[in-house]
Amino acid sequence: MNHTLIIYGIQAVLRAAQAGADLYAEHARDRNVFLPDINLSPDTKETQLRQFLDAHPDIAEKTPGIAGLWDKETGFFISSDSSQLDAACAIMLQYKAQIELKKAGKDKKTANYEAKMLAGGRMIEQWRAEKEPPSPIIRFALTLTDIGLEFVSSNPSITGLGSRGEKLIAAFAGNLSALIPDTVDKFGNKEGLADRILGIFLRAGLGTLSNNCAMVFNDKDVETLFKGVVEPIVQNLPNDISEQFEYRTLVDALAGPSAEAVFKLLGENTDGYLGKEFANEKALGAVTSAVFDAVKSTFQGGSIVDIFSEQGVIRLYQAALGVVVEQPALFIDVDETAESKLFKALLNGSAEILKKYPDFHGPMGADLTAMVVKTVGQHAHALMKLNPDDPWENIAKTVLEQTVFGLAEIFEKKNEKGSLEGALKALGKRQIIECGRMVLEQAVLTPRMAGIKESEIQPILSGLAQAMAADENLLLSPEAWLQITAIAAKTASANPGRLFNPSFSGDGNPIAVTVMSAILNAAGRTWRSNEGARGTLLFGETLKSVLEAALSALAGNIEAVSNNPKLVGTFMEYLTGFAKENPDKMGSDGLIKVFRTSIGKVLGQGELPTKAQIINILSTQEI
Amino acid sequence: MKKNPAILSLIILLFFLAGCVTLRDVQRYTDLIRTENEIARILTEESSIESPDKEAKLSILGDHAKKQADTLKKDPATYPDAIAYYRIATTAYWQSWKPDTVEKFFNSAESGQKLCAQLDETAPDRDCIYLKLVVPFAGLEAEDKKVNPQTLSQVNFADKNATATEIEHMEAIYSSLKLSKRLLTHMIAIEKDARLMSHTGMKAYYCRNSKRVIDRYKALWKGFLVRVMEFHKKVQESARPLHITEEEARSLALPTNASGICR
Repeated sequence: MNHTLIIYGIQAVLRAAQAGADLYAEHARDRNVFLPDINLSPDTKETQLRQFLDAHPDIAEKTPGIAGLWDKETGFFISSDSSQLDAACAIMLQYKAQIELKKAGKDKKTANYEAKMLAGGRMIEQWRAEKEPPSPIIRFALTLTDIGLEFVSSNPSITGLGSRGEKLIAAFAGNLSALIPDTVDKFGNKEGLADRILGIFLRAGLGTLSNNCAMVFNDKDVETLFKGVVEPIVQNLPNDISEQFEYRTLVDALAGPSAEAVFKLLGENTDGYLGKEFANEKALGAVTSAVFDAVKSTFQGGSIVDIFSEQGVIRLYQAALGVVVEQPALFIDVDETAESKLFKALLNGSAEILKKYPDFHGPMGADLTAMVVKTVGQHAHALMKLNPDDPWENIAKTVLEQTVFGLAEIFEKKNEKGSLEGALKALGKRQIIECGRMVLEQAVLTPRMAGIKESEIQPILSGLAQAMAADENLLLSPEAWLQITAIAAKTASANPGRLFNPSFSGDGNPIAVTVMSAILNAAGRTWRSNEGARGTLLFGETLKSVLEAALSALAGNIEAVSNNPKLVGTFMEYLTGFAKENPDKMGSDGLIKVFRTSIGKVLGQGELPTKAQIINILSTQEI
Repeated sequence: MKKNPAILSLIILLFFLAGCVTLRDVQRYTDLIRTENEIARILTEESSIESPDKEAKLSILGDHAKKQADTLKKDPATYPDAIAYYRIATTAYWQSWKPDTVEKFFNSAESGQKLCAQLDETAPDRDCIYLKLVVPFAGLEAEDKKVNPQTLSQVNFADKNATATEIEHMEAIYSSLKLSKRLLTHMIAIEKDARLMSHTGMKAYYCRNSKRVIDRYKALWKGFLVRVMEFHKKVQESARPLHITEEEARSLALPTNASGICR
């Protein structure tokens, strides 16, 4: 064995191994390694903008909105004002998006369009990520976005691309500036309230769309809503901190239902009416201002909420909105400015009237007032012709007063035991209010009936109350009494100053009351003597028909009954006596027929029909 | 045949001696790779996590790498390995950035650069460029943690009013910009190193990061300058004076052709 060879051999092996180790060393040292990048804090809008403009000075120089604040010589955007930075950032985002889209192969037109969407979306996300409080308009935009996102997950059908919901949100976004005063520092505490109201109204609008698949709101309607409703609610925020707390609490309760009422009205008044304007925004603003001002103002230590309740105030507002839609001119002054003081006075005055009558507190009183507002408002022009020196609000207040007085008398008709008399105890409060409405409606259709100085509303209601009290045996149902009220009101309106005027009757009562009471007393006596329905005709439908016929006949000659108030009573005794003696000849139809045929002569000439005449009437076929 | 036991012994000795050297080398390179992998794992997998745990792990890795480097630097033959370990150490200390690692960071960077200088032409390009860059990079990042665009956004002189806090912010931004400018100048000076041009990977790394810090600096400086101008022109009520003139603010501008190799 050659020893040198072995040594060389070993050296060779070692060198090979060493070469491997060197290669491994090079690999270990020179392999790709991870080198960390510098970690910087996020850019703000301002630094992003400045970097973008540094890289694109040509865009800075030629773009309106930036060029005015770009110092070409030094390459500076010379403002740190946040609103100017915001506006410039919006432009920057759009450009960035355009560049990206063009790189991705979009044509110029599509890139321009989609860039706006991208830029807007990134702007929203950027605002959301910022830690400092955004400006008012940003805050509002985020509110709209957040509520829109809520509906995206719960009602995707109304918030998809090009959907009704998306259009409504866009319309809201387009009107945000209406909420912001010229100088933002004037906003103060109102910013938070405005944000909240905005959210409530958008939710109500999207909710309305969800519930009505055919409804669409256009941009003009939303603009009207903003200026006429949202803005006045915000503007009425009091300056005093403690008053603000109360106002905000009320607004929390009122804003949602108010918004629903407005959207409902909007839907009712624009559906199918292409191009029709929803409402006059000044008139809308006047009413909203008046209502939301009245909720905070006090009279004798209270506000309208104390009298009408929150639910009642909403009903009042709804009624007023109805008048706004039909008669916007009522809320606009001669110089074309919105007139809200008078309506506010009406609201406060109404509350003051109703305060004296606990029976009318709460929603019922509000319903009554709402009815007056709606009815008087709708017929205001006719009423104002009668009372040219008085605004319609004063007429409405007087009408309400008389209606309430009249209805209050009904509630005062109590017996020794303290319960209501006759049919009054069977009528619920709602039905009594309905009586008031019927009379009121007829009154406004005949303006003289609602005349300020000689209004008949109160006497009619008072007279009807007297008549109802006379129905001791409850021979008429509440529904029948409502029908009689309608006839009485209609006949009274056709004969103003006659039926319910005491001067026409010799016993000091209005003639209609005298006649109805006589009929009811006769019916009652008959009922009692027969111990019920058996053998009695004068009750229920028959009695109702007789009373209606009597009321209608009072439009004719009433000379005899005016001089002799007992005449009708005598006639009824005679008729019921005949019916009792001749049950085979006279049933309920026959009684009605004889009464209708004879009552005119009875009232006018005092002539009662003879028995032969009765028989003749009964045997005559009606054609 | 009679064998010569002495020669055989020598051969065997040589064999074993040679084998031990190789094995140690392999173990060292394996450790280098493992340390590298571990730091890469922490920095990539845990990149979004800020935790004392992560910082502690990085600090421990840094200490290990520095210890290896300090040992290896004693032998010129292993200077490249030492430089690699110093690279790992500075990276680990930079990313953990605890008060007790700052000194070790500078120490590692300096020690590695000295070895690079000694190796001259044969110095490993990537690691030596990195050891130069890591100092301004880490310094700029640390400065950004103290003063950054958010600080600037809290100063608003458009309302013609300067609060004490706003003045404090302006003074802090001014100090920070002065330091940052020095760091940037130092960073840009590294562009003269020819190796940076020739090493495409490091050039890309440098350009990517230098662009970000230069752009950030410019934006911050311009926003600062605008506010200095607004203060002197618009502010009517100030809690205390701002002792920074427009000229002083303008003097913080970077040279127009900063970072020429990245264009």
